[in-house]
Amino acid sequence: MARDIETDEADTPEDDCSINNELSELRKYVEMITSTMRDMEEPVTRTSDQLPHATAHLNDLAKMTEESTHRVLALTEAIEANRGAIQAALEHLEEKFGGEHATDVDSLVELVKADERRLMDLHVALSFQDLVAQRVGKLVTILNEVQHKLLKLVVLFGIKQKKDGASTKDGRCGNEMLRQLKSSHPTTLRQNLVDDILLEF
Amino acid sequence: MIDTSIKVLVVDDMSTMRRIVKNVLKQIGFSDMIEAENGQDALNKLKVGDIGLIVSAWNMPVMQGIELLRAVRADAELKDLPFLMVTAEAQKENIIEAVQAGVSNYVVKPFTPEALQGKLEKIFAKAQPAKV
Repeated sequence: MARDIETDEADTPEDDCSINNELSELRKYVEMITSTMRDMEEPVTRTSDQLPHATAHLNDLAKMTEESTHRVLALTEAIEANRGAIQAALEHLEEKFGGEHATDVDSLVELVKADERRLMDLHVALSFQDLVAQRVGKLVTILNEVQHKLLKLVVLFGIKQKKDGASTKDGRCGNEMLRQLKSSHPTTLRQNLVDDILLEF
Repeated sequence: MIDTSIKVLVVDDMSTMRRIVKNVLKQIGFSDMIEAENGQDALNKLKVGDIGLIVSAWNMPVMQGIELLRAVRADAELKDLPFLMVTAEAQKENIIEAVQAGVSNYVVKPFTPEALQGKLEKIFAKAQPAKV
């Protein structure tokens, strides 16, 4: 029995050769990985440097659309105020001097009234800006998460320039936002489907 | 019949949306409206009192719309306030979550003025006992 164990544990020259071969293969593999990591160093660093600029551009985009939307909203409000005043004046004219021109004035009032609905539709259509800003916000969160992961790689690969990255909380938030971004694709429920669900309660 | 004499609290972190919602409410007939930027801001304004309807977004910093809804329903003085959620979050689980939290109704962005008005009519029809 003792003899068997001794035989099992003994290193034969063939075993040594086999281990050396495996170690040699392993060394080549490690060298290849190290070389790949060196190759990645520059693009990873460059990308992680560029991401804050991309985030800033996206935030600017949201801000610019917000400001522009306010300008259009202000103009539609001013046009609506004028439209309301014209309608009131026409109705006053119709009441006071209608007579034989009542039909003409009435058709003018109808034309002006029709614009009320159009202006409100235009106004509400500007809510696209809120949806754009929400999507941009989600993209910014995802970019922050990507930047955080890239910085982690930079640190793991031994690249010295450690920079401030997104926090772990941002990372978790990024996953959630990514889920929401996916869910905001056209598969998102429309109002009629929402109403159907609400009817179940 | 919508009671347009009440004060409405419009809650959204996006200033453009607050402006749009207020203008639609104005067209419906409301004239007394105040704004809040998030759920926490809304809660502070609700404590001052006098609010008869909350129209809130879901996604907001500091305190989300769903958290505001839960806080309102948990408050003895505020729990019966009509609460309309206006949001782009329209997954089935979002709607169920909002219903379970006690939302009065739910409008999906982008919405039409008619959709908002229709939801408000339903809210006020539920709030008022049917006339015999």
